[in-house]
Amino acid sequence: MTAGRSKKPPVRRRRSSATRRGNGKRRSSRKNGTTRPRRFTARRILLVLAAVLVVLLAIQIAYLQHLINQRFDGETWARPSRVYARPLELFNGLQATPQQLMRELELADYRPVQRLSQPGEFRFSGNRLDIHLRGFDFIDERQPAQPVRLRFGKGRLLGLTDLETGLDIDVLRLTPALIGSFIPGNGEDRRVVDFEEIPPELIGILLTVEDRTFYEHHGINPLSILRALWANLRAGHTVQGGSTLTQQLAKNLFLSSERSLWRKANEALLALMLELRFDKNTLLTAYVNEVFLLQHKRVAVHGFALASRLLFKKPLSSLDTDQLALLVGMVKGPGVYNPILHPDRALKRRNQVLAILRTAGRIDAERYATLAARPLGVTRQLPPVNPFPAYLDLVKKQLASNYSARDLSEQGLRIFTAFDPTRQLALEAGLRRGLRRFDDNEIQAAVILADYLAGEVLALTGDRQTDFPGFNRALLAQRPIGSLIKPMLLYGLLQKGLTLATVVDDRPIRIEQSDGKVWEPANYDKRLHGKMTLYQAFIKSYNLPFVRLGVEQGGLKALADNLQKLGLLKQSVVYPSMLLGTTAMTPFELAQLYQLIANGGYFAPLTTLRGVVDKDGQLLTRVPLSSRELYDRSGMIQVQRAMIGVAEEGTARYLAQRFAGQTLAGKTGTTDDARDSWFAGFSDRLLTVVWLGHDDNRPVGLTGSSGALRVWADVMAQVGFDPLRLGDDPNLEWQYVDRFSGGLSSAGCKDSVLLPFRKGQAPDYRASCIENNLIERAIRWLQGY
Amino acid sequence: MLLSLVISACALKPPPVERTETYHRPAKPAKPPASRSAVDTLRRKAIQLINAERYDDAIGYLQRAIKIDPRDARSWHYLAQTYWHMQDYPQCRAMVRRAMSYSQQDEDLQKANRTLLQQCFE
Repeated sequence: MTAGRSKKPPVRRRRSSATRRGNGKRRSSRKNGTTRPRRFTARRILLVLAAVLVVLLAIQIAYLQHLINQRFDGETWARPSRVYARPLELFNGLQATPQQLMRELELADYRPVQRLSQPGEFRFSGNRLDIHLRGFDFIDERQPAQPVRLRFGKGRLLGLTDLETGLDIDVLRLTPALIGSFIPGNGEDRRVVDFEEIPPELIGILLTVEDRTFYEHHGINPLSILRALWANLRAGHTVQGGSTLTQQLAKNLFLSSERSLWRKANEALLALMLELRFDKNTLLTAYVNEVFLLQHKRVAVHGFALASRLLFKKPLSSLDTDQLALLVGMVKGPGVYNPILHPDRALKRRNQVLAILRTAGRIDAERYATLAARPLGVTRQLPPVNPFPAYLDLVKKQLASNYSARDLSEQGLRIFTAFDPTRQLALEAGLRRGLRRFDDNEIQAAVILADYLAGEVLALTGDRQTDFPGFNRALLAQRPIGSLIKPMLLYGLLQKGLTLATVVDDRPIRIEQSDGKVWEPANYDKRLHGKMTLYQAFIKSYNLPFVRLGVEQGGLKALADNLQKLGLLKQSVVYPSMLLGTTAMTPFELAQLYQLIANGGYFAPLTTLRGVVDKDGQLLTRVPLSSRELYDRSGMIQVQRAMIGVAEEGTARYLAQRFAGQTLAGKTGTTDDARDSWFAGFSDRLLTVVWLGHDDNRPVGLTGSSGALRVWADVMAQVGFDPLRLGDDPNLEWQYVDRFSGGLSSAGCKDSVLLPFRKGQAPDYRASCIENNLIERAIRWLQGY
Repeated sequence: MLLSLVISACALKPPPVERTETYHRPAKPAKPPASRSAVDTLRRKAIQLINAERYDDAIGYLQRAIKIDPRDARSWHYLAQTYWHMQDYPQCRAMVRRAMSYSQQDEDLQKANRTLLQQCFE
């Protein structure tokens, strides 16, 4: 019997089962024999559908799992790299005023207070500046947080004291200002914090407002969903969300904000999967870092830590309850509750959050009243996203050989630079003032300020509008440099055995070129000036003597060779017109050339960088001090002396009037039809190059002297400088010579000038000591001197 | 008439430039810079680190000292010495030459520089 039953085909059993659930119609269908296959098909279709659904679900789960893996395996977030200014070294005797230091402190996000209570604050009173320094990881070591007192007098820092120990401090670094970030392509910026860095109070407020059962549910909270559904049904529109924090995180990380069932289903699924894979604290940390809180121009501000820095200029750990309440309140609508754009709405929302905290028993009524009465306390305006675009351009360019654009925008590197914010702001102010001299709003400008001894670029602008992140003329504008070539030409001639007292003749010269054309150069003033020393021709920037010496004394070849050494010889064929600066250079290249001159022939590649540290504090790159003796020091000191002459009594004598008694050195440059106006000059440590011109290369109508020199002086007046100290060299001797005849002279004689000579090369004849009277001067003129 | 022309010409002339010949000469040994004590402190720390064979850290301190006062010949000298310890002879030579260019008033240091330069070639 059993065997007989077992022989019945399984399909029959299924049929009879169907029959039991069926009705008469089904029975009648059985008669014509068509039902069996149809029922069979319907069930099968259902089964197949179910199977397909399961497979689809599995595929979807696999896909979502892939999304989760992709996001959480390795780096969860692209961490923008941060670029820091140089840390200001504080020591006794530092030339600085409290006002300058307070500006530095504000740039480094320090806040003025009445009483120091935590790191990141300062207080100024009388001649004392108390600062509670933040702890900071420099390239080489960590400087712990500490309160210090700075005393000032006569424009100097007179003493540093540790306020905790009362001990004097010899040297200390100020926290450097953050001057920019390399934001990833998606425009998201954030400061990633670990769970331990999240203030417990923030967690408390966040969970009270957004998800009270976070530590109990498994990703979704059905009760909460039902409650929200009921509330929304009653209101007729969405008034309450039922999403858990995990669901919000899933949405923020993986999904769009589209309102659809499919999205909600995925959100729930993802939330469950996230909860299966990660513990609660990991998810909470992810939420705190991921949540979008603010749109700041092109940058989307994510995470509480960065929002805290931007809005309150404080780390998250220093925020008070009302400030945390504001941040948590902003989660509901970052655009609607933006406290800078909509302070009234933001205040109302913050107080709503405070009310929720009071109802939940986290704060009492009295505390609520105190906190709700407070103003928002946010900064009036957010700091510019990229306030120093030209400098950052150069940083990026100099990092490019070792770090890809992706490394920079995703690896969270900390990049330490030589950027000097005080001098940058002074440079910008000087440039603005300088450009107001000219009645032409289209004149463009580039300015570079460098420490030529250390080989560091301190400040830079590539546009008259210094915060404009467009075409960076300082790095990209290739322009003929005009007479700025002459110091290098002079150096070459001195190497050939000429001296500053060699007599040259300012008379016409015709040069037949290889193509048969004749080149007839002229002086800028179109006049001839007769015989004079090389020094005199240089300070007046006469062209003809230099072209003649270049062609006849091998100056052109020496110039080409010397430029070649620096990689600045750009053409394969050398033309005589190079002697007048037809070679095009960028202002940055020119600054490199002048670094070498100012530094007495020691080449230090101009860099913005000091070092790079990865997100874990490991040193990746330390830029070593570099110094190569590329040119002869004694020759360069002679060139420097001639450049001092330019600033004292030559084409840049405006400087001697404006900065009386302060030695400076420099050279003016003007190109054909006054299309480019250049000045490059240096003081004790600072080298500044200024270029003015039009982008379309039409004449700017300014010479180096009437244009760039004036701007240079305006910039230096703002920046401040120490007078140049000319270096010494044992191979040099100093002699008074007559600036026209080149013969030995004396200090009291008219037209005498004190010049350096290589030992043994000083003139061996005496010039007559000409008195200051018209007859003798006329005789000298007749003699051709 | 002539007198008035002369007077007006004088009025148009830029103010005379004060010429002080001393600044044409090489700088005399200046009084110690204000940063002396800070630089000394950093250099002392660096020397301790050199003695402890922590050369990378020593370079950090010496670079700080040099950035405060780039003419401090002793810091350049110790930087050269550090590179010598690290057997980076080209850097050693470059640094000692900078030390030599700033130490012309200091006979002892000049002598030490010359010895170090020789060692940098060996």
